[in-house]
Amino acid sequence: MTEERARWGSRVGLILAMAGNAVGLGNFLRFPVQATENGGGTFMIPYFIAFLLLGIPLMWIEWGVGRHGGLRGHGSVPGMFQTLWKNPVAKYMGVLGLFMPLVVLIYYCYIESWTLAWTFFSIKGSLHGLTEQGMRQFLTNYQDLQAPEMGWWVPFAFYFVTIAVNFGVVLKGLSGGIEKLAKIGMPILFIFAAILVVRVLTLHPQTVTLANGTTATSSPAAGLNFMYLPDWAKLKSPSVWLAAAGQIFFTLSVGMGSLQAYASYLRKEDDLTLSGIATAATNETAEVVLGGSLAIPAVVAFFGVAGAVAIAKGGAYDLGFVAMPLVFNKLPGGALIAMAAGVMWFGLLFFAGITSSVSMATPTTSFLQENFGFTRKKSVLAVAGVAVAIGLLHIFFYQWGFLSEWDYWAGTFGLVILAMMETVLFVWVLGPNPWRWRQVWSADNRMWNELHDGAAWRIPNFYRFIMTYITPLFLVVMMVAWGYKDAWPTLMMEGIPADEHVTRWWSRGVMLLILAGLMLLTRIAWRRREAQGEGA
Amino acid sequence: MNTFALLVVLCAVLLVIGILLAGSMNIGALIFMLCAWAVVLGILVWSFARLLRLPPPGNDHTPPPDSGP
Repeated sequence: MTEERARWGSRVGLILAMAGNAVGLGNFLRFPVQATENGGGTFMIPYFIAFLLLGIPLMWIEWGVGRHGGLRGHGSVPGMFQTLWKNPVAKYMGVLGLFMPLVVLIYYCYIESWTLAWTFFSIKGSLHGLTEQGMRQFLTNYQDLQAPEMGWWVPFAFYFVTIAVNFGVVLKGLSGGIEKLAKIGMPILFIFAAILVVRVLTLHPQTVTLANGTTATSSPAAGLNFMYLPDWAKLKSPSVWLAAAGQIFFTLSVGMGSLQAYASYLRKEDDLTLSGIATAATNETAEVVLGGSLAIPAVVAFFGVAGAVAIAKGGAYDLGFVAMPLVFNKLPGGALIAMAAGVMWFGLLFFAGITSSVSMATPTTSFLQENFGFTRKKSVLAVAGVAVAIGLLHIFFYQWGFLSEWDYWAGTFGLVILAMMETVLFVWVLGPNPWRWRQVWSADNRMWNELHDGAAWRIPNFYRFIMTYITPLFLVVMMVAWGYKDAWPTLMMEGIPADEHVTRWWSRGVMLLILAGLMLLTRIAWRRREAQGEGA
Repeated sequence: MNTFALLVVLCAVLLVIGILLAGSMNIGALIFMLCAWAVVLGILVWSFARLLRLPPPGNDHTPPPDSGP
């Protein structure tokens, strides 16, 4: 338990791995959908405000929590929380930092396997010539395991390949696996995205058929106009602000437990202020500059603004797996260009996905290694076994909303709760008493000093105020608003078809079992530590 | 690596993109888009230029005199 911990091989590798962790499917699928549903340009203003007040501070907090715990021999959140707050409850609060990455990893690998499958289908030409209805049916058949044209076993095959690649990378370790993947995957992702952006933005104006049957001319520039022309009246809507803050949250992968796990491998003399902001900027480049210039301008060019809004209402999967292949089919150049664009689009989604999913496997594997003396191989195989066993439930019961439940409770609502807890512990418990104004600005502010150990750049002083007051306030508002607006209706399954209720309850039960299991493992781990005289 | 020179190059690239899109985009949307890109890419270029001057993680180093806490 006290053996030398692994280290990052290079600074660029570390930043790319951290950015790979943050850059995921959400940058290219969720962001355009959220922006479109919330008024395009209107959405972008609160989005940037949330980036400055919520995203960047949380990024620093997570790096700080991770390094603080890592220096004390903890690579996962339960131990990190215990080092921040010497109360026995702290480690159980931190179990969320094991639970969420594990739960999200399990279903994320399944979605990731779709991107691998669609890359293959693009090469094979299966998507070429399909109409909108045909494209949607193709996706539904795949999800429902009823695809006569390919066989029921195909989704399973792609899922197992995805799992094997993911855990193969994790098995190779921090420097030899995760860092190497980031160094290969991130440049490929950026190159593919940049090529697609140039192709989309150089499209000529297209004639589109509107819903009322008339025709009009549309272009990628109309999509950019939509993305960046604010409607000031809509800015008063709280839901736009909530959606923007939520997107910043998900895109940076904060509140998950995986950024902390990566940061735990840093040393006291390593910089985290400049590295944290570089990670956030890399993610925002992928999201705003590339993600924002890809799907929406492309879809607007071929379907018009109203068509793009209608597609966005269908959700991220409709945009990524139905609308985008339709756009590629319409590109000048025929089947070969459609294939190339499809391979680049789904390929970049795969790399965005896998660089995130390997990070989600890290907290649990570290936890098992550090607390139960597992070898890396044994811990990776244990997590892979759990992921496959439970992941199969997602494949079998996807059509009855099994995955949607996990995505909401662990992949959405849970993130805000963990972020709130870590902010309070790192900023208020480790740091100054928030009711004592002078302590916030004093040289003895431990939170501030912790962030600046080994710092290559000094964070502007006004961030002391933002991190102590504004970020927690932002999180409380989000938690209360979501609890009121979404969580209660979701818990009560309002608007969910009755035939899905039983499966969804089972889905919740499995989640609770995982949570209980992790709580039990944490209890056993700390008993072992106490028996060995290690404590926190 | 000269951070200032990189930022100048970035501004020039954004200016060219702005000129190319000026005819087809609404001017307000174009300015907002270029400002958003400038902020994001500016932070990216500035932070990476500074980071690449540092020694690899794990090696002892002393922060520049004007940047430590």
